[in-house]
Amino acid sequence: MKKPELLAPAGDLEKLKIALMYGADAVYIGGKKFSLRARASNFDISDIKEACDFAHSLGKKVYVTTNIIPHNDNLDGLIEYLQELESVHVDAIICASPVIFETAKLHTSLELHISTQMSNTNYKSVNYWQKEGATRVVLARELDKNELRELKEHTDCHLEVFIHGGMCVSYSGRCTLSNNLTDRDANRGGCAHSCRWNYDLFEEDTQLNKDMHFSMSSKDLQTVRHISDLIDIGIDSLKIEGRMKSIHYIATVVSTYRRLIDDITDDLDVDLPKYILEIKKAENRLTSHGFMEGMTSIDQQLYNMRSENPTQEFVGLVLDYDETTFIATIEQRNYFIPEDELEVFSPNFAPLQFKVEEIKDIHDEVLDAARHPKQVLKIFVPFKVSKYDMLRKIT
Amino acid sequence: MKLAVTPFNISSIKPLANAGADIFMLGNEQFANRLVYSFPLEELKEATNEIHALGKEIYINCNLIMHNDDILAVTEFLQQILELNVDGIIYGDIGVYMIGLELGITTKMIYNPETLNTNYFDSIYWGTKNIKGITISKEITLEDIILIANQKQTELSIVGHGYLNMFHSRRPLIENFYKYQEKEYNEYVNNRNLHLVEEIRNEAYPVFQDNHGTHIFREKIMQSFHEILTLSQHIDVFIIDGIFCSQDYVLNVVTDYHAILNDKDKKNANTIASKYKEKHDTGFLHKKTVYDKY
Repeated sequence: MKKPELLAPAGDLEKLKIALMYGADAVYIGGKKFSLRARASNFDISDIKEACDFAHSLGKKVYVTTNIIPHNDNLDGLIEYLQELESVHVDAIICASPVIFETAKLHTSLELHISTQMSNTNYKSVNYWQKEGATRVVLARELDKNELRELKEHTDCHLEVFIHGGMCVSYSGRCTLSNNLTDRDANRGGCAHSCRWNYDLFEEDTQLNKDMHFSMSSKDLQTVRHISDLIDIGIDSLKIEGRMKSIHYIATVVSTYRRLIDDITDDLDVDLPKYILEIKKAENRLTSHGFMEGMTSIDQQLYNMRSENPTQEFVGLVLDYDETTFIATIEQRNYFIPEDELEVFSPNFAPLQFKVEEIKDIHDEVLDAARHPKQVLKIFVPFKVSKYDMLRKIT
Repeated sequence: MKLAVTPFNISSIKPLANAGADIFMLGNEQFANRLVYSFPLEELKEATNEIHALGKEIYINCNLIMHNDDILAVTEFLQQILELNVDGIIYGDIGVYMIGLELGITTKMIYNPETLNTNYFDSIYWGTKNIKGITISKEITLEDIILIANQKQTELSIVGHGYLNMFHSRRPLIENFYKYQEKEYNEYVNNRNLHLVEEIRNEAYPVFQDNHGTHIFREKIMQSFHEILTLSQHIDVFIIDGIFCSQDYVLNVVTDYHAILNDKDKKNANTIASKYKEKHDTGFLHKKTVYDKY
């Protein structure tokens, strides 16, 4: 059984390192130019080099998104930028517009992936891009497992499929709601998520919705129950959405799918409820399987609610651990106090719990609470923890 | 520059031709999105004969987003269309181009993916693929349209008049909304009298659900009466999309554009444009969308 790549998003270098430490085989990042999610793109070329060096030292990969649909005046510096990406050894770019695809072909030897923004929904269009020189196509999120299987049977092109995270309710790349309602260009990184707003539905002058707003907002994608089938179909890369998400979200989602993929390909018993419970700790919106089982129904939509849910509380990130004193140095991320029950979430072992004793600052002053974001603190942890382990409050 | 229209039925073809239409865009709902009218294959044959007899051109709209299950039917449809000797075939999915390549008909094909032809290179790129034309995306400014036209390698078209769509979901969003409330929904599917109003915007966006999913349109009808003379210097085909409009309205619109193009008189253009102020705007012709301010 072929093990697919697990591909994770990273909005900055810290998230990139977390994603790779917690089990991703590859990460995708946005540079400051030519990338959607402009606000999530914190990587200048030196950061991209550091990202590639770090990933490659672990035998892992970095893909850079250059997936805007550019207008005429967005093309300055494209050749130079693509050549810079090649010079720092990015493993592929993810692109959509022919101008970026062809410029990369002409001026670099970069590997080319086709973005989901091109709404590739059938094997004919996938084969087109392969013929043109792409090595991989990121498929549209509107495909069910039967369509994926048929598609795989009709192409040699590597296929990438979204398995988790936010979903466009429209065909990606074909939506200009944001352009029209807010003047922000969705295909150039400005999507205002107008599909998640509240609407009223009318038939001529008669309002049809009485008790609730008309909503078209989509639940997020979660496919724990479908990974086994996707591996069986032979999907080459399983992709997690969310370059804007927190390190706790990235770590939780990546490590869950990592263990799940490993269990399936190692032919171990797979405890799906355990994985579903684990991944819920990072959910901030209700989830569903999207199109995996066929046409969507009401179970894939969000109705009558503001969609944000509180996530399990992430209270600290481990920076260091002294094995002689059992003292962990941590960076505070959320409020906690002595006597709180915490759980250590680590890429190295299953979650372990302990009770907080004293909380001290770096000057050894005893504190009655961990109040300040990013404050460096010292606490006693009765077992070995490592840098990048996370502390969650058990609620 | 030729004027293209979307006829309402076979009997509307002649009056539209008389009003000044040069190209007729027709389709069947199995293979096309957002049609004014779905022509059964027999009617497509009849329409082709009539349009050709009038000395006009016919383009077949085949702009579905194609899934694997559609491939066989699309292939058969294109083969049948070929026998009619139509003048153009519009596609929005590159998979349809691939079928056209296999059938040897790419020189008749026109790429209109609605949102993806946004810069000068798109026409150059598709020119190398030996297709007939591309349609420039609807959110492109007049200034950019001219820049794109300066380097064109294919026929260039724009949608210059009509309700423009801004959203296409595969999901049955109207049906699901009613199912969630455990209410009957049949009368709201394929119903073109619906619109959405966002809670803080006093604008009405036409919406409907059909066999391809759910479509949402801009509130105002785009018009280009002030720009048509400029556009005629750069663009090959100016499309007037009649969706949600009456035949009489479209006949007037075609007559008015035709008059401006014939007279080449800007004063006349101003007089005519003043008739189309209410419920109309100029889309993105003079409005840049924001790119890098967030």
